Order: sequence, then C-alpha cells, then structure tokens
Amino acid sequence: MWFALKIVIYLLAAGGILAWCAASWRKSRRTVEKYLRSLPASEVQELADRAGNTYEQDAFLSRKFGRVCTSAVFYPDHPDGIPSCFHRLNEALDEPVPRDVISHICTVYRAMENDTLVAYTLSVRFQGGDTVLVVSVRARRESLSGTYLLDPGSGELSADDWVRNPVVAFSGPDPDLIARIRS
Amino acid sequence: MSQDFVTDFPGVRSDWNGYARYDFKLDGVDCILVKPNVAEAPGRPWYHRARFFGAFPFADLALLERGWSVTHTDVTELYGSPEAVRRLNRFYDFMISRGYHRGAVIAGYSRGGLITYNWAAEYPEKVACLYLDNAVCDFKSWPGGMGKVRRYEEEWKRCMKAYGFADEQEALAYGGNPLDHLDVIAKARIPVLHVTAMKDTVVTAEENGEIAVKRLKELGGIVEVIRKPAADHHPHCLENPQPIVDFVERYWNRRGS
Repeated sequence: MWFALKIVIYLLAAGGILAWCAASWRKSRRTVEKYLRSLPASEVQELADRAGNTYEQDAFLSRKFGRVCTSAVFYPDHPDGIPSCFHRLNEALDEPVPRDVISHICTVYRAMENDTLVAYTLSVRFQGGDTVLVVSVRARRESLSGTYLLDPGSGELSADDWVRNPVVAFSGPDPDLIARIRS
Repeated sequence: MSQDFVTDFPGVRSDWNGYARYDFKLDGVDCILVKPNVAEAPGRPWYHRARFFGAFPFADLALLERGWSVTHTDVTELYGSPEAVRRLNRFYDFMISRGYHRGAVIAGYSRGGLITYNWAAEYPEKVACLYLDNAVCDFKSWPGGMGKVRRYEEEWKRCMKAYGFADEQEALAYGGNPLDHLDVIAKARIPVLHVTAMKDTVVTAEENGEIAVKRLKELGGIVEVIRKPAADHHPHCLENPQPIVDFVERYWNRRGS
C-alpha cells in the first residue's frame, strides 16, 4: 500500500515538474514571439549578403523601412559577450528586452553554421513610443591574440589561435535610439 | 575649439584615382581632402594619411569606396616633432569644424609612425584607432642608426633640427619617441594595428614595430599585428586591404558620433 502511494506521489511530482516546464517553455516562447519577429528568408539572405558591410546593410534596411536607418555595431571578444551588447541596448530602452529573448538569440547563434546570420525584428519602446530594431548577429573569425601572418602567395592571413566571435548589430530608423546605444 | 583658421578651403580641385581631391592651405600648410563618390558613410569618418599621401593607397581607396574621406596635412621633414603635432592638431580641429567625425583614424607609414604615435599620445581623446605600417617608432633606430641599420645622415640632421636638439647627446636623451609613451596609448585603450615587414632592412621590425606590439600587449593595450614574414620595407600596406579596413571599421566609432 505504502509502495503504491509512493509511486503515485512520484508520478504526481514528475507530472507537476513536466507541467511547470511546459508552462515555462510556452511563456518563454510567448515572450520571445512578442518581442521578436522572424524576418522573411529573402530578407535574411539580403542582410547576410551585406553582413560584412554596415553601410550596405543600413542602405538595405533604409529601403525596407522607407526611412534612413543607422546602426550600432558591437564586436564582443567571446560569444558569451552577446548579452552585454543587449545590456547596452537595455540601458537605452524604456523597457528592457527580456532575458528569454536574449537567451534565444544566443542559442540560435551558437547553433548556426559559419557565415550565416541570426536576424530578427525587435519590437521595443523608446522615449515613450514604439519602434523597431533589426538585430543581427553574425560570426567573424579572428586571432585570439590579434597576431596574424600574411601568406605572400595567397595574400591570406593565418593565425595559430583562430576563434569565432560574434558581431552584433542593432539597426533601425530612430537615430536617437542608435546614438543612445552607441554612447 | 579654435576655429580661426586661415584657410583657402576647398582650394584646388583635381582628380585622384577617380575621386574629387581638394588641395588647400590651412595656416599656410598644404592639406589634402579626398571625398568619396558614394554617399558619405554615416558619422562622416575620415582616414588620415600622416605621411606619403598617395603611396600604396590600397586601404585609402577601399575606404573611399565605403564612403570615407581620406586626408593629409604636410608634416614633411618634421619627424613627429612638436611642430608636426601642432600641425596635425590644427588639421584635426579643422576637420571637426567641418562636421567630420571626432574620432580620428591615423595611418602612419614608415617615418609617419613618429607623428602618428606622438599626436595620439598628446591627444588620446581625439583618436579612434591607429594603423602603423613598417612604422618608425624610435628616431634613434631610424634615421639615427643607433641599432642594426646604418645612419641616414641627411635625415638625421633634419630630424635633430626639427626637434631643435643642440647636439646628438640631447637627441639620445630625448624621452618623447613613440616607444616612450606607449603607456598613454594603452591606458587610453586606443586600438592599434601594426602591419610589419619582418625582413625590413630600413625600419627594422625588432627595433620598432615589434617592440611597440610587445609593450602594448604587456601594458594591456588593444593591439593587433599582421606580420609579413619575408617582406622588406616596400611595399607597404596589403594588396588586399580587407583586414585593415575591417580593423578600422571595427574601431572608428568606438567613442560614438
């Protein structure tokens, strides 16, 4: 009898934990969906093609939004530095971007292949109004020590300590917001 | 900020590699401003060639294509002396008065390393980043010839004259060479890129760029180095200047617009 009761208690506890996990996951997804809108694949491709050139990326987004877009770009020294870029963003915003959203972007960045791009439209509030930002995270290869050797034949750089680090760009049509993020 | 410039800007317009070049005088000193053909990049960044304007202009042209302006002010035969620093500072004030970006990106090729580092050490708050290419970091090495390479007599005399040294002892005791104030550069967190020819027979890597890189690293500065293992003093720069452009674009706006 006592054994059967224990089984039931364990089952109830496991069920409760599962239910809590599912609810948290749904809540997290709702939060992410509320703040992030996936860009259409064609637009992500357009951005990826321009990912190495902020000006071209800004020009593309300016056409998309019909207003001049500028961007604040960060080069963290490690993938773990992505949240610190959002910290800079949050300091400028009326309401901070939820941790779930930042965590989601970090997870997608870690999972992505080389030379691809994470890009979303982010709905935010700034100085009492709603505005949008396109957040993009791409990877760049760099030497950990900043020490490169030029191959005179190929013109390529080599290094003993390549690492893959992110480049985070916040681009949008509100110049005041971009200036605040940069400052 | 002083804006009482005596200038004939925009001066004389001509073509430079397909771009509009303006030669003008600022307080009697020759200056050059080359404008991009495309729309200016946001923030109006500018890339200043401290010496040898037009030589090995791979990075200059790449940045012009991306909406940067390229500039130069004459500091010939001044070897980074206080007069050279004054001239470059005057030019900086002029650029700011014209609405260009507050963070200067300075490129010092060869002896241009002297003025590049010396101005940056004097005015670190005005610097976005530095790019040094086979750069002189100590006039005792070149043109002084106190190390592995021979003395360049005429240049050494002009260098001593530019600094107003009474004799060689005074020059040797001078503590204002780039290698003497790397602590200022490191403390100000000014990013520095050295492109260094490791077989340079004029401005030796081991007496100049390599010491600068080592000390900056020890001092906790932001420094990157691209070594060209078999290269001599020429050619400067990289035929494919993308790594230089990447470095400059990574850091030029670190202080904001």
